[in-house]
Amino acid sequence: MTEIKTLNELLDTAITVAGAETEAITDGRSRLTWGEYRDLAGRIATALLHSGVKQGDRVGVHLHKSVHSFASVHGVVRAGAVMVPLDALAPPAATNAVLRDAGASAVVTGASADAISAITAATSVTGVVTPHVDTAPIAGLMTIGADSVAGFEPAAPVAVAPDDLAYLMYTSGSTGKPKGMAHTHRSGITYARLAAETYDIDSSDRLANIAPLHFDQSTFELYAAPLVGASVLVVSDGVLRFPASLAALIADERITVWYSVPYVLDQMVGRGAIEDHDLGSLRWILYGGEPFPPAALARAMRAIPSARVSNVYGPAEVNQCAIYNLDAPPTDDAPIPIGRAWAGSSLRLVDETGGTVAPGEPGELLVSSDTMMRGYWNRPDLDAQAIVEEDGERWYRTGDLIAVRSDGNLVFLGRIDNQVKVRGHRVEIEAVEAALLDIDGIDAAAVLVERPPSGDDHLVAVVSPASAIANGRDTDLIRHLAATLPRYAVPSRVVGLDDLPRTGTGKVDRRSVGDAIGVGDGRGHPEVDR
Amino acid sequence: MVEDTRRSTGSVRWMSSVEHRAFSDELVAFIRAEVAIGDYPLEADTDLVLTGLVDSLGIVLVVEWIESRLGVMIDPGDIVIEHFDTVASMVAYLRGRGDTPLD
Repeated sequence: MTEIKTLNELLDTAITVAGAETEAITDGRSRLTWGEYRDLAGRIATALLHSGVKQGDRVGVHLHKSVHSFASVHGVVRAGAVMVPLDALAPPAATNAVLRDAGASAVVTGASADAISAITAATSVTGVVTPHVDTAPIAGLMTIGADSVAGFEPAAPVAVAPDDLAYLMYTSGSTGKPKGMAHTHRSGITYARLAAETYDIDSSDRLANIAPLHFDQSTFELYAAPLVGASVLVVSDGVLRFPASLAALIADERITVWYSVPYVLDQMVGRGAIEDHDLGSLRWILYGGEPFPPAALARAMRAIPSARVSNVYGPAEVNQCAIYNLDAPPTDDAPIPIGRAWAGSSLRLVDETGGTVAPGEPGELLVSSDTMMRGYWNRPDLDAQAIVEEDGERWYRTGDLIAVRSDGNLVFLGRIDNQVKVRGHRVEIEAVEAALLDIDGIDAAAVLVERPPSGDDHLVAVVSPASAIANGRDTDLIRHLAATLPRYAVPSRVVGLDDLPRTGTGKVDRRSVGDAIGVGDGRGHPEVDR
Repeated sequence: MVEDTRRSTGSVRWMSSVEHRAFSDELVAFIRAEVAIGDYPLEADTDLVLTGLVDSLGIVLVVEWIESRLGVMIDPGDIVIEHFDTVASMVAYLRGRGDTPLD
């Protein structure tokens, strides 16, 4: 495998490996060869450089999933800038907060002039590139539209060092303030190389990109694919909402490697009419983000017998750090292990004091790896909490409670804090509760996760007093939250209670609130049992 | 409700465009009230996915509502983006089936 050290050379590497005329990427509408993919990325890089972007500047990528969104990521990195993936479906206020925190100088987007003004208001953004649409002038911004981009010469990669930053991956912090994980070229390329080697991916493979750019699973298709010249199908947000459309596309495109959260695969298997489609080209199914209920995984493996399955474990801070492969469907309800350390990762379990636990005892998982982020962007306070240095190694505290099974495999037991996963997305419970408490008339709030057997996990808000949601005000409240929070963090229903149970210290007791309305607190997973 | 609609199909065929319009309006109102995320303006030809108005759970709710409102079953293989990306697409699909009060 080629020994490149920075992500900005990846598309040139792919041309060397697979050939400039070979198909590289499709989104179902456009199809590009590696030569065309590189040139499009190069022209976007040229546009960014014209707009004044300098090496190390942060540049947002705010596009619906498409060949243009992928080319824009590579265009930003090619320009020597730091790529900041944004959720094109997020409320403008949330996107604005990320651009402000990142101190971004430019954004690549396809949004309307009004939307661009909203997401860039009161930020340091001065340049806007719209690679696939023409755009009208916007006061205070230098805009470069598709007609200009098409006429530019593709830029060569701007030189960067392996320890320079390559991208910031944002999640919402516990106070609702966005928190960016700062990854270097080294952490990105190391992950890409390990992933390609682990799953034996080469230029004959076709990878399905299911995850959005702001979700770390997409690093697999963005960076591992070009390293070995494997082609990518970018599945649009639209197709993802329709399991039968998704199954047809996977079959028609002869996809060999799939990577998603359990929910998307389960929906395709359960509702995608897959008996009508030949999915036999799939040889690997990777899943991560949250546990796969064993019965649902067994159903998926029986439906797609050509594929081996890999449970991919690793917080976005470290990309990936543990792996557990299955060749046959699980036969009982025991939770699927997260397995063992992935190549290049060291793992250990510690107790509350930071000491290594006794053999057989559960503990918090710490990870040390070359795929680990440099730290959180401009947040030394968070670094101090999450990263510990010991014996010259940097260890990331995952916050996950893990036990070692008798066969040596690790098993996820739950979180040690109040972070939960909703269909693979991290949600800080306190951030949602803080948003509820900001609303007039709400005195107390608790947020819980409801996990029905259908797999349609969602949040439930419990507020007091009960009168706060009388006369249809629960719908207003959900709309209010939808304007500020990412959609997966917006509760699907609201329950009113006049008195929320509290702990001895006076805090709202989520577990008792959950008991009162018949919902779990969502931190662990129902099938996980020591 | 479902039976009333069915009983009326034979006699109102000549005014079916009015009926489509009424059903379309009803579906828009349902999505606006029960399904839509955010406050993007919703019309019959609004793209429900790219505007972020409807997520995958929302599609399930819409399908369930149509099934119970019209007394039909929608085959999972028919729940594809071409049929459900807008309210207008849904009405066209339901009309094209030939077995609903909208045909």
